[in-house]
Amino acid sequence: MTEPAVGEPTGGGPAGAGLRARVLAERGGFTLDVALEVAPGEVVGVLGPNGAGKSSLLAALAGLLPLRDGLVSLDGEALDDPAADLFVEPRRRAVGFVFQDYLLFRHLSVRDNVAFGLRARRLASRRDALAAAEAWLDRMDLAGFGSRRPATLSGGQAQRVALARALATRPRLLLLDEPLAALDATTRVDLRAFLRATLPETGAAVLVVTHDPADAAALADRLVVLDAGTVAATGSPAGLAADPPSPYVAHLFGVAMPERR
Amino acid sequence: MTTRAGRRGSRGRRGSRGSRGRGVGMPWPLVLPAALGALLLLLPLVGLLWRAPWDALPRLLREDDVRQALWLSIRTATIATALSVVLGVPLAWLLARVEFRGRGLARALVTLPMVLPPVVGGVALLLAAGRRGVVGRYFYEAFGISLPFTTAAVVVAQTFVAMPFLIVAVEGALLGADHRYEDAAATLGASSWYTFRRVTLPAIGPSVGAGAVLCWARALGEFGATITFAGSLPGTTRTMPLAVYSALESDSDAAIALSLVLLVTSVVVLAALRGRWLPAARGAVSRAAG
Repeated sequence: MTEPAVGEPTGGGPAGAGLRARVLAERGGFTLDVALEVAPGEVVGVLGPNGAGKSSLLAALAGLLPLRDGLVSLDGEALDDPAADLFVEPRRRAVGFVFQDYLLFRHLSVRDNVAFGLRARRLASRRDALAAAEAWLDRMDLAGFGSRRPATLSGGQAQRVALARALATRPRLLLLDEPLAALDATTRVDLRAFLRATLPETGAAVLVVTHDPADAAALADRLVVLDAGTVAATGSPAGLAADPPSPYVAHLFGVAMPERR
Repeated sequence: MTTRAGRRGSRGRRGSRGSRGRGVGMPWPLVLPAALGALLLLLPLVGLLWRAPWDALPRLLREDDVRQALWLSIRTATIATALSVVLGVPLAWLLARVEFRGRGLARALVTLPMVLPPVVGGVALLLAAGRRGVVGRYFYEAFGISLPFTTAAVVVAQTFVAMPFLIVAVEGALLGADHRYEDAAATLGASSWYTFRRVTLPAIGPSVGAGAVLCWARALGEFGATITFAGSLPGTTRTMPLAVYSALESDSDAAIALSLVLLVTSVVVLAALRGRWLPAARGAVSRAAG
């Protein structure tokens, strides 16, 4: 178990950089007990069956599910530390969250959705926020979509708008919950390639939750396999597939062998 | 799709919305009381239309006291509705979103005026805000202001009786709304006030509108609490329903004319709310399905 320096920022040095978390949390009788680290610029895949605790893990890191015990720190700054009675509210964390069903604000235009965080955090004037939103849409290959309503977007487009919205405030930790699950096969392949290229560029520590080993292998540098709320295995996609540490992991990869790009 | 029962319903083209399921038989033990029930609801209205002094109607509606009552009613009901929105929406939000001790009790108390006889509400208001009332006494001593038997008292009485309708509609919409949108706003750095203004309120806007219409209609028809707390002073507190009641003793034609106006208003309100009746339940269902 890693022991991150409690409470004292390490000044952004490499020692404290990225996400360090030991999550002990409960949600409706289900207990989650997971330790993990993600370096800035690293993409870690969280893999596991339904009910393994993947979504709860993301909720805990975002502050939507307070820890019962453990510690979450980001770039050396503690975000949740029950022992020290410290809890940073979700809105004060540099954490971006891309929800499985996007949760785009339906009454707002795509542009206003992407600008939402900048305006909510008062990081920019209205005009600058909207200009920044347009730039993000450009980067997501969505130039010209700014005035559209979320309801008029395809799944892949909506997912990229959600990604732009989360990235616009420049989070240092980016959480993606099943980014590919709701998409049809063609879109899925396209968006997978897009995410593979885009996510490392953000410079954030990135955590991608998926139940699909192929997606996990394609997107992530490193995998954390969850089962029943605990870490069943960690390692590179290729390593886990070649030498599964448990029958469960073997089964997982047996179902769909990973093709590493 | 069209069942025999559905065709009998005969509310026409739109009948396709509800009646799914196969043809239903018509057992007499159900049909007979159902028909009697419908008669009981409709006959009085037919009677009203039958007896209406159609020829004299334009003249009656132009009479000073009728216009006075009409104008007073519209004004007070509108102010009461505005007041209900300003106070009721935050209250509904509190009841739906914040967990606190005694929330169940608070919820029950807030909706109590819906089942409380309005005249009891009027008595309660009198005891609270009257010149010798629990609160009213201090107001009278400090400012020389006495609320009862003023137009403001009409507004207070109407708000007391009608606001729960808005609260119930809005609270239901809030409970049916997907609170994860609020989570998403939080992860984007929005304060709870910012989230309420830019995410929650737009999402429940239609329900606030429907609740406000319902609230306005209820305020417009308010009688018991008003006559107890505000009296029936022409021009000051004699709203339409009070005017109907007092006209009935002297000039029944005027009473019928005023009643017609209220009836038409009710029908218009009902039409405006068509399909949005109890929007909370509908919202919850459609969201669960979607």
